[in-house]
Amino acid sequence: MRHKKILFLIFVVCLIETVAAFLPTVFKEWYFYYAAYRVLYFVILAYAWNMLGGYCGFMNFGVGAFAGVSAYASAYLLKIGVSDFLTTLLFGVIVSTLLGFVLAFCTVRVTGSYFSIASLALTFILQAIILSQPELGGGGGLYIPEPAPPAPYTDFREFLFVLAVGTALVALLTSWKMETAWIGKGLLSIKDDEIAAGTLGVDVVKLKLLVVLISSAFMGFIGATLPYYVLYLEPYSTMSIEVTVTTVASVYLGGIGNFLGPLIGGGILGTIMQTVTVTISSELNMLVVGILLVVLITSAPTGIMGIVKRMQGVRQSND
Amino acid sequence: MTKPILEIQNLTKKFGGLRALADVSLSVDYNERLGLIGPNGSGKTTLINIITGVLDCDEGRIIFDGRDITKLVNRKHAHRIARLGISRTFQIPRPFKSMTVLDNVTVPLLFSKRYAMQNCEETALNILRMVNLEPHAHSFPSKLTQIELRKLELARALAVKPRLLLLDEVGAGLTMDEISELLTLLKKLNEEGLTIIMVEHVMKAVFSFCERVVVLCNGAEIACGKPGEISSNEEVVRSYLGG
Amino acid sequence: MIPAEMLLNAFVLGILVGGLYAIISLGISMGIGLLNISNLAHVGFMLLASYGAYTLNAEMNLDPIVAGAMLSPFFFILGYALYVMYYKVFERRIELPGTGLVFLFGLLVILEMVMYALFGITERGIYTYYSMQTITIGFLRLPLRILYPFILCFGLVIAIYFFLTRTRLGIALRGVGLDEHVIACVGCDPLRAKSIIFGLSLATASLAGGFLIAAQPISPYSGRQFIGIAFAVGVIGGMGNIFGTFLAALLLGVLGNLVTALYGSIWGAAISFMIALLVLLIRPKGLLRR
Repeated sequence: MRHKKILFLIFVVCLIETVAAFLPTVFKEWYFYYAAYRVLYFVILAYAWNMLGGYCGFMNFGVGAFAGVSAYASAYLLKIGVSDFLTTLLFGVIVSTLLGFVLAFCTVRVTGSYFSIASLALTFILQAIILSQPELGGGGGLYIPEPAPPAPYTDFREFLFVLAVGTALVALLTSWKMETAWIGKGLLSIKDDEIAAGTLGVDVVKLKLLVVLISSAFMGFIGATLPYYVLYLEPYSTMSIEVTVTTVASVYLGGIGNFLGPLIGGGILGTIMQTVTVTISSELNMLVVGILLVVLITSAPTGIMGIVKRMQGVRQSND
Repeated sequence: MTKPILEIQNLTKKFGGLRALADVSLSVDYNERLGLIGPNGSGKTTLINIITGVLDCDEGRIIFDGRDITKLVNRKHAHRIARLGISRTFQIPRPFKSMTVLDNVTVPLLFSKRYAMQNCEETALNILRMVNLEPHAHSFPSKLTQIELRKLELARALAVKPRLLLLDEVGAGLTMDEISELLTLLKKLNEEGLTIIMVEHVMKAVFSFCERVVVLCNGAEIACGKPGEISSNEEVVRSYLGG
Repeated sequence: MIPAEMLLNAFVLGILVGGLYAIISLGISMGIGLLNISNLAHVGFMLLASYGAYTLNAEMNLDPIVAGAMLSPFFFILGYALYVMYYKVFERRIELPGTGLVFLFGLLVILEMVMYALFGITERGIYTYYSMQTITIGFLRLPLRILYPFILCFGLVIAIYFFLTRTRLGIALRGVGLDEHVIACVGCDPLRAKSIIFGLSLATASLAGGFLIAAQPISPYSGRQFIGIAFAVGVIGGMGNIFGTFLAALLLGVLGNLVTALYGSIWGAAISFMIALLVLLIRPKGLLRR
């Protein structure tokens, strides 16, 4: 039974990725890929956040820092002449994962809220550091030369779209595995009662660090692709708190702790942001998302999937 | 004389100005059924917490099965102590509320005994069968009664496949019949090779089940001996009545 | 090489700035140490008070420090009410841990954006009679706009210390953080006690807001730099430890200022942060814990 489920899921995932890979050769609407990447960017960040926040109870308010520092790392390599796409990506992932690991390692033994405060503070500290480094463009920003797209694509953004679809699918599969595999049970036990879990053999520290690594890696991966998309990085928008609040709102909108939640929430919120930001300012944007987040967290913290599950539960008890 | 399974040497634990355990030494033999009693606040739960690595100790050594685990305790590596074969139940049951009863028992199998996911279900069901909880395997802890929760607590601790089991007031709030049911199971496990330390207030249970009883008062041992000797010990009675 | 006089000036100025750090960190530290609530929005409230002081100054020519003090009762009430709502919604919610933190984070974003909408991004400053004045002692030059807040912060810290340790109400308030149920048993309503603490915490934010705009011009994002500082101060001094927080704030003020004098302001903040992480590794309960 379980094997059938896994195989089906993998089949669907491969199908979707294949379709995505072929799409740019027939469907030539560039705005679609431009917007789709943006939406998928937040979907992936939402998945990464959900792993830490939903499964582990660690609230990461430094999403902007993690993704942003990876973007800058990748862009820096480009600037100093390393043009291999994979190398810059890898470098970004390493930097982001290292950052997450150091932060988590120092805060894992104390209450999780220290991680939250520290990650928030980190966003601003890193923002200011980058502002002061002329090699990273400082306040004026960093320009990245437009890369040549690999065949058969005509725009690099088409390639990024395919990559983003693939990454989102991998994130989805990872989340699903985290929920159903042994690691999911361990994380749930930690969330419920860390001390009892320890006395039953759960290595709390190691599990938490593992999830931080995976989460940071995903943030780093998609963050490292950002320079190739925007071709211009500056610290205020790249490492902003706006990224964080959008990510968190996506997770809670879709449904926290559920492997479909980030897809739904990120999809909806990402699409809205794409269509709306062209008409209103980004600060007003943030205000609206902030209010959405506060309203969601107060009145409907389980999000859309939570409501769906509750309706399913009602239906089951009515049968 | 054979080695003891557990040796506690000069254990001291302070909470600020309060001395919870003062220079306590204890020795437990393999397959022994040891009772640990004493008035409230005498340090019994603290002792269990230290042995299982939930708390660290200020002074002293703990040796399990010939291995010095004091460092593990002081670094609070509870999971490694569990994997060595020590498990415990909590005074107030602490089940994992977000998972089913079956999953609660699966967690220690997965993490203490490194079972693969596919192999857990059957073993977990067997353990639940031992404590008579199998019918509730797919219920959530919120639906269980007090005794069922205590059985779940016990089942979880047994899923660690321990060699030493520490029971913290497992009989509290239960009827004598329910207690007998648990004691019968525990006796059987003891005969199969499990060493048991029982912290209890229900004296009947202690005296009928345990071979030896240690009495703690204010963090220090005040008596030790067979159940019969302890119940007639004046100082023990006085410590309970506050004389 | 930087002359010794300049370094010494930086040192003393660091202590003075540390006073401001202390009053900001105290509010957050009280929240974490006594209530186990990490109020990420604290700096948002502080800026709110700063802008309030700015407005009062513009309308009624009120000194910002005085304005901050006058606003503090309102912030106390705001804090009280906010905590009651927070308690009822989030503290009761055990199955979803961390949602309270997310709420406070959202609150911070909202506060910043509202202030941005009302006041814009340009920095607002208040110029009082002491804004440009300095006292000269030997070769030390102490700006009054930082000296006055320091003296007041020092007094405030002592006042809070005595309140929490010598008065009956204060001791009861500290107790509620340790064990809610025991306090309830002796007749003290834990929710009321906790709300009072949170109200006090926001009241200190109001005072800090007044001090802040007296010392420097502000923008809606001015609070952000203090999150890292408050974190470092709390970690090093021990959350909820009044004197520890004060000493740690002075320490970090000096350190930050010295590093700034030598390498630029951003590295001061970065160094404090890294030291905080290091301390978490070695002595998680704080260096200055009794």
